[in-house]
Amino acid sequence: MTRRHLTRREFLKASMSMAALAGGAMAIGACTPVSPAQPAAPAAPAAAAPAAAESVEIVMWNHPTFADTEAETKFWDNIAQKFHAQNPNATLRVEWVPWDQAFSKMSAAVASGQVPDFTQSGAEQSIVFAAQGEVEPVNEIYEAIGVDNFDQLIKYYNYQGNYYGVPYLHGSEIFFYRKDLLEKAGYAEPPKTWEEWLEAALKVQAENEGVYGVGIDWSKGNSTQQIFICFMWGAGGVMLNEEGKVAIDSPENAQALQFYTDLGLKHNLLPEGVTALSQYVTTATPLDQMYGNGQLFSTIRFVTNAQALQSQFPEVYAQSGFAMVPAGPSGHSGAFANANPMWILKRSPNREVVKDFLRFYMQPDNLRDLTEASGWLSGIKGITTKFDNEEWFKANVDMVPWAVRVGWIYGPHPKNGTAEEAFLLGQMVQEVVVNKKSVAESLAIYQKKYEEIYNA
Amino acid sequence: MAHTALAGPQSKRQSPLLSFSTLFPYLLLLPATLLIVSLIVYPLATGLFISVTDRSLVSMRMNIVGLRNYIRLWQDPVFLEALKNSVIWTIYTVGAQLLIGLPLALLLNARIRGRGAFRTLLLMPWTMPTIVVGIIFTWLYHPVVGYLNYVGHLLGLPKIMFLADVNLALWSTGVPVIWRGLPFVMLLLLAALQGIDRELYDAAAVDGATPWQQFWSLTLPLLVPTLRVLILMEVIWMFNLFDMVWILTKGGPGNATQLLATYAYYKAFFEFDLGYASAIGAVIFVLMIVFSLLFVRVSTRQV
Repeated sequence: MTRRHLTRREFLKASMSMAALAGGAMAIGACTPVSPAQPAAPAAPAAAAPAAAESVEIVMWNHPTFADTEAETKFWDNIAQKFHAQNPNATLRVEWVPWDQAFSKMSAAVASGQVPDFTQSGAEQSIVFAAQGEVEPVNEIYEAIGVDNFDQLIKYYNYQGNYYGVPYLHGSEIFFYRKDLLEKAGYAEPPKTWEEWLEAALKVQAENEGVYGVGIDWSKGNSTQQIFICFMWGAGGVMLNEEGKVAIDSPENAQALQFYTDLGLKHNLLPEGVTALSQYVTTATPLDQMYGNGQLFSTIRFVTNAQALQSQFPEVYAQSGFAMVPAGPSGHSGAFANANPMWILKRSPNREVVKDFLRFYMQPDNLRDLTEASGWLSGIKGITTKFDNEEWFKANVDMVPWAVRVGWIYGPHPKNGTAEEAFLLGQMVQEVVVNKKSVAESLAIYQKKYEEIYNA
Repeated sequence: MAHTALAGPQSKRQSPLLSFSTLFPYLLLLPATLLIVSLIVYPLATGLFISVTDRSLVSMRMNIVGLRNYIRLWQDPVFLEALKNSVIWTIYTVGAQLLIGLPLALLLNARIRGRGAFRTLLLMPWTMPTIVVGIIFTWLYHPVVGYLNYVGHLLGLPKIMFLADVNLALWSTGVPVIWRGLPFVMLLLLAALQGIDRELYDAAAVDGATPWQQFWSLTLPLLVPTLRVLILMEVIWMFNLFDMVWILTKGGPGNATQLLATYAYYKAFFEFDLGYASAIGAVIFVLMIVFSLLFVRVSTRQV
C-alpha cells in the first residue's frame, strides 16, 4: 500500500485556513479594551454599586512616605472610603510605586501617554513635567483655601505664577539625640551650633563604649544627599544662586563639606561602614536601626522616623530628645524639607474629579488624620493634632522655615528634578572620603557636573 | 498517485525567484526571523541610533549629535574606571568559577559515597534568586550586625569593611556571584567528564601514567571543547553583569565596584541621559563581539 503524502495544494490550503483563524483571533483581541495599568492593592470599597453611566475611577500613583507602611496603607484605605462616601459616583484607586522607580516610571508614562490621573512626589518632579505642559494648574484650590493658610513650602509648587500641586505632606529633618547620654556628659541643653554638637559628640563617645557620636551617611545615594543639605544650608551654601546659576563651588559649601567629612576623617565620630550604609533609595534604615539599638548619640532624621522610633524602640525613644538641627556658620539651621505635592496629569480625562478629591483631602479632619498617622505636617497652618506638644513635632514645626528643597533660594527650576535624582551630593562626599580628593577638588568636579545638568 | 511536488514541470515555466519552491523555505523561516528581528535586531539598532543622539528620559528631546557621546566616554574618568573594573571583574569571576568548578566536577565524577547528595547540595546556589543571594550577602558583610564580622570578633580579628573598603569591595562583591555561578560551571564540566571513555584512563594507568599526568594529558585536552564554550559564555555574562553589583553596592563605595553595566544603568535612570547610556551599551557590545571573534579564532586554531 502506498503512503499518501500531503500535496502542496493541500498544505497551502490548510496553512491559509490556520492563518485566517489566527488573524481573526488577533483582530478580536486587538478590539478588546485593555486597562493601561495593572492595579495593585485597590483602596476603593466594593460596597456601593455606582451609577452605571456616570461613575468615575481616579487612579493615583503613590509612593511610600510614612515610616510605618501599614499605617500608610490604612490611611489611604480610609481616605478612599470617605471620599467615595462623600462622592458616590467617584472612587479612588491607589497604586503603590517604589520611590526608586517613581521618576523613571512617570517619565515613561508621560512619553507613552499611559498616565495615571494624579500622583504625589517630591516637588521637583512635578515641576519637571509642569515645564513640559503635562501638569494641570490648581490655582483655584489655593484661592478657595487662601494662600496665607499654607506654610512657606508651597513656594516649591509655584512655577511661573501657577501652582502645580497641593500639599500631600510637609515636614523636615530634625535633630535626634540621647538626652540621658547628654546629661551624663554634663550638658543640660541640646547643642545649638556645630561647635557645640562636635564638643558634645566627642565627650559622649569617649565616655560610652559602643556609642558613636554622630550618625550621618556617607554612601552614594539619596540619604547622604538629604542629610548633607542640612550642612550646606546651615553653612549658608546653596545649589543655585538667585540668578539660577549653579553655585556648588562656594566658600560656604566648602565649609559644609569640610565639616561633614571631618566628622569621620578627623574626629572618628561615625560608625564603621558609612560609605556603604545605604543606597540610592531613601531607606537609611541602618541609621534608624543603629539609633534605636542605642549605638548612636545623635543623628539627623525625618520627623516620621521619630514616630517610628516610638513604636519600634520605645526604651530609646523615652531617652531621646528632639531639636532643631544645630546651626552652622551662617547662624541659622538648615534641613532638607519633605514637600510633596499631589499633582494632576493634564492628559487625565478626570481632572475635575481629581480636583474634587484634592478639595476633599484638604478638609481639616483628613489633614489631622494624616499627621496623626505619620507625624508629617499637612502644609496647612492651624491644624491641631494629638502631637502638638510632642518635642519632635514642635522641632519639626520650628524647622520648616529653615527647610529647603533642591534649588533652594532660587526655587522651582525644570532641571531640579534631574539634579535631585542624580544624587550627586552623595558622590561629592565620596570624592573626599573614598577617593581622597580635597574638598576644593570635589566641589570643582561637582560644580561642573551640576552645570552639565542645568545647561543640558 | 499523490506526491509532494516541490519541484515539478511547472517550475520550469516560472522565474526562479518567484517560484514557490524557492520561496517556500524562506516562508518557513519567516516567523523565527521576525522574532529575532523584533527582539534582537530592532532594539540593537535603536540603541545604536540613540547613542548618537542627546536623548533624555525626561524631556522629549532627541537631536542627533554624531559621535559626541563616544568622545565624552573616553574623557570620562568614571567610564574609564568602570572599564578597568569590568576587565578585572571578568578575569576574577570567570577564573574563580573555573578554578573551583573544575576540581569540584572532578570530585563529583569520582565514584564516592553520597555522590548524588553532594551533587544536589552543590547545585542549590544556582536555584536561588539573585536578589535573595544579594540580600543574604549584604547582611553577612554588614560591619555592625554581619555574621562574618561576628565570627571574626570571636576569633579576635579586626572588623572587616567588606563592602565599604575600596580595596575589598570588588572582591567581596564577586564572592556571591562566584558562589551562585559555580554550579553551572561544575555541571557543564561534569557532563563533559562523564562523556570521556573510562577505558582511556585504564589504558593510561596500564602505561604507568600518574593521576596528574592523566589529568594533564587526557582529561584536560578532552575538556577543551567544553571549556571553550564555557569560557566564551562566562566572559560575556560576567562582563555584562549588573544585578548582583547593583544589589550589593550600586557601584560604590566611590566607583570601586562600578562596572560598565551599572554605570550605563545609572546614566540612563538616574541622570536620564539615554544617549550617553546607549553609547556605553554600544561599547560593551563591540567589545564582546571583538572578544568573541578573537577567542573563537584563537581557540579553534589547529596546532
